[in-house]
Amino acid sequence: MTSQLRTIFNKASSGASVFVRRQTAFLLLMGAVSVVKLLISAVAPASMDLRDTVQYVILANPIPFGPWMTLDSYLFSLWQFITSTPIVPGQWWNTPPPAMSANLQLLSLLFRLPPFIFDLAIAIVLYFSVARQHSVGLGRLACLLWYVNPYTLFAVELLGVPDVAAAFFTLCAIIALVRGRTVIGSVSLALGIALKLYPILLLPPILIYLHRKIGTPISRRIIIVAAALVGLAAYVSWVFPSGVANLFLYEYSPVTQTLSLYIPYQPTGVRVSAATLFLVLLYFAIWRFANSSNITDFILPVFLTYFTFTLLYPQYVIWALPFLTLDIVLVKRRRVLLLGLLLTCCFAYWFIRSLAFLTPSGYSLLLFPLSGNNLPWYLQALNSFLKANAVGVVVLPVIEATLYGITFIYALEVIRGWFTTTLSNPELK
Amino acid sequence: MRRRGELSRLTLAVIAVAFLTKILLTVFVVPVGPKSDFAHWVGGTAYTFSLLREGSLPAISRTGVYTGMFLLLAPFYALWAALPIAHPPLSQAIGSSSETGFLLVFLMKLPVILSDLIAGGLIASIVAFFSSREAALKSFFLWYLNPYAFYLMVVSGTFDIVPTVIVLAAVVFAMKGRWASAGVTLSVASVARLYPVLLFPVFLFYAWRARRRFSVARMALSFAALILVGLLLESVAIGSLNSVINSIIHLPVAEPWLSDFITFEVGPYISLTPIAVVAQIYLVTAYWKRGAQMAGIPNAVLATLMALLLTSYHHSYHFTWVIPLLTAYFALAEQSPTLFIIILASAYFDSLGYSTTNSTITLFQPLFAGIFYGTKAAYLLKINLQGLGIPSKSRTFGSTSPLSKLLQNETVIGARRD
Repeated sequence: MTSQLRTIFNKASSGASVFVRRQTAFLLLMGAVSVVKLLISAVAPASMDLRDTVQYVILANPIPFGPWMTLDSYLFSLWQFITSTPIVPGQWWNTPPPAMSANLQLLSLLFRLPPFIFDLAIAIVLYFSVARQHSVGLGRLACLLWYVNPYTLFAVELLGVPDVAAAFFTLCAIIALVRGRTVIGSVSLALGIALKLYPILLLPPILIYLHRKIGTPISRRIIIVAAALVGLAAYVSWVFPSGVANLFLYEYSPVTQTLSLYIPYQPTGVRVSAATLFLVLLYFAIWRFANSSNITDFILPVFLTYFTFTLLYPQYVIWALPFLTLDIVLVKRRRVLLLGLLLTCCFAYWFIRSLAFLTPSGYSLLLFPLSGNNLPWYLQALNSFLKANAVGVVVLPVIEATLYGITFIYALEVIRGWFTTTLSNPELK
Repeated sequence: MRRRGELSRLTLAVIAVAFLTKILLTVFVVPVGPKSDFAHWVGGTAYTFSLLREGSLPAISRTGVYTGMFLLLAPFYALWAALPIAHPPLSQAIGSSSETGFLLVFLMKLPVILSDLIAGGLIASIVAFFSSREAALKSFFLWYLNPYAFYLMVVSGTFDIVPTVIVLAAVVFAMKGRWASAGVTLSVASVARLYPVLLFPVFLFYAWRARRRFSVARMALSFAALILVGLLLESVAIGSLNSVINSIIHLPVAEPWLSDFITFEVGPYISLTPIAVVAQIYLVTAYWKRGAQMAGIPNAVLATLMALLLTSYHHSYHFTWVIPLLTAYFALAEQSPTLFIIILASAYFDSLGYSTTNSTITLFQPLFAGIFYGTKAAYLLKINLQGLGIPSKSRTFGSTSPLSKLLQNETVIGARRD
């Protein structure tokens, strides 16, 4: 049985490897996936996050907050210019996919176009950075592992949130800084922090790596720190005027980095942020022990430790996914199993918690109906299952514990790599 | 060429100036009010003194965990009471700008001021055991001129430095193999504050490791003797040993803040604190390198206290218990001051949000608390790695700092190294 499975797996692998070996197959696959992503972007209903984001734009809030909402306001203006259609607030996100007109589909596509562009941009950056340093085959593998990953379609295009943009800037920043391009790297890092704040968590390990492995002079490291502070100031400047206590620091918002994740808010008593505690401990451990040539060995533990001690929203995985991709392609291929488990658990957890990704239209984000009188029996069964008591009491906690266990184990797996001297693949430099 | 222990005139002058400055700041600058922590301590001490003057002891049911400290502070209050000045009610005396008010503050803060100085001396003594005279002097100034340590001791209005100094003395006695003295001082510290009780297993372990005749017995009996004598005296004064034991058992109920030390709960019946402390003591006894001998005592005590403070919601002034030994550790074991500065800075910022209604500070308090607790964890990891024999860079004081230049005329005599 095992040998049969292995034979099937080997055949599938060799079949799939044509996309890595042949340029034509690779480009065709990339093109096909792009078309699929754009089509789904057009017809999928608005996610709750997208609705929350766009609500402010369509309702013409006099204080549009942040670069992402400003971008969405321009896209909305473009849509109005193209279609000359007035829109009632809620008309788009309350309309189920079968009832969406061409204009509403265009609107859906436009709002999801920026995440798609950054998605494709990350794929291109991964391809060229790996291909240039190692081989074209590895470059294609890294590109496909990111771009064809179904989780990317879900967390980027379907959710329609700006985390992918911050991930793009962070990836560019790290690649540029490792290659000695201080200015480009610093600007990218500042843009990432200004957009979503979380890249600032990577500043200590980046500085340690540059000092220890690259020998970056202190003047350049000061430039990097200064850029990070500029990014932080920019983030604060657009977040604070839009409401400090009630919205951005204690409650979830799709366009900001909720500080309550590492500054937990409780009305009384002493509060210690577990995420901050373990991040500080990790920074110390990196400073004291990390001696790997791979920048991913410095970066990934920060992401994974942060994920372990905070509420892991599905789009937060996108922050780490480019680096997880590089880790698998260049360091240890077997970790793809850990990654697969992590993504599966995260998807399953939020599938259950959000009642199959229910959207305001009554449809799931995965394009099947969840409300109405004529639901097929299997969807009715799904609804009943998701609302069952046992699911919340037994199934969800088990999946949640598994998810955080995997993030912790992956972090330990990467940390273990600090102390080993042999690598299965050449390192990213 | 100076003899061992002799200091240069310049060094003595610096210490004298710092000492006088601290007295002036403590008495005339740092505000004390009739409802401050300091006022409560003075009130309890006054009550204890009045009982002692009548020939009786304060009941634990009335004075709680503070009984021992009140007894230690009573002589200083007695000095004030004996002065030929007016003695208005404490609510009027404390915080007043009169001679009697300043004298009260000076005499009642004298234990803190003296303990501060003695702590510096004991830290230098510990460092001198392992390193050079110059390193010892530097560690003294590192403590004595530490603004955060002074802030904690004086502004908080508490007396935690007093039992801390007594614990330091116990550590020094233990390092010198004087186990009876170590036991007595540790028991005095335990009576003044409860936390030194946790250090008894550590001292006992090192007494056993000393492999000297009756060292364990000396340590154990001297520690127990004072506590037993105290219990007996208290029982005689109250008239019932049973009620004394009952009072001790019901201390967590009488003092709810004690539960802050067992607040990191891992289940309905157990918290992380005892697990962490026991695990730390176990690490020391089972895995720390045997070759370290008595040199391991300061680190073992520091690690145990760090484990306690890492897994409990302690007040800011409780960090005083750790800073002296942390200073000694930093002086001996660290090359970069980064972690040391971060832990003190984060402790300060964490303490700002502890009891304030300022919404901005309250907002960021958990972040500072996270950094503070994270650096405590980092130190705990570092100390344990050193104890386990995993090499770390030893500190070499640079010769270009102003502090080094000040002490350049101090010559190294008979440097003792581990």
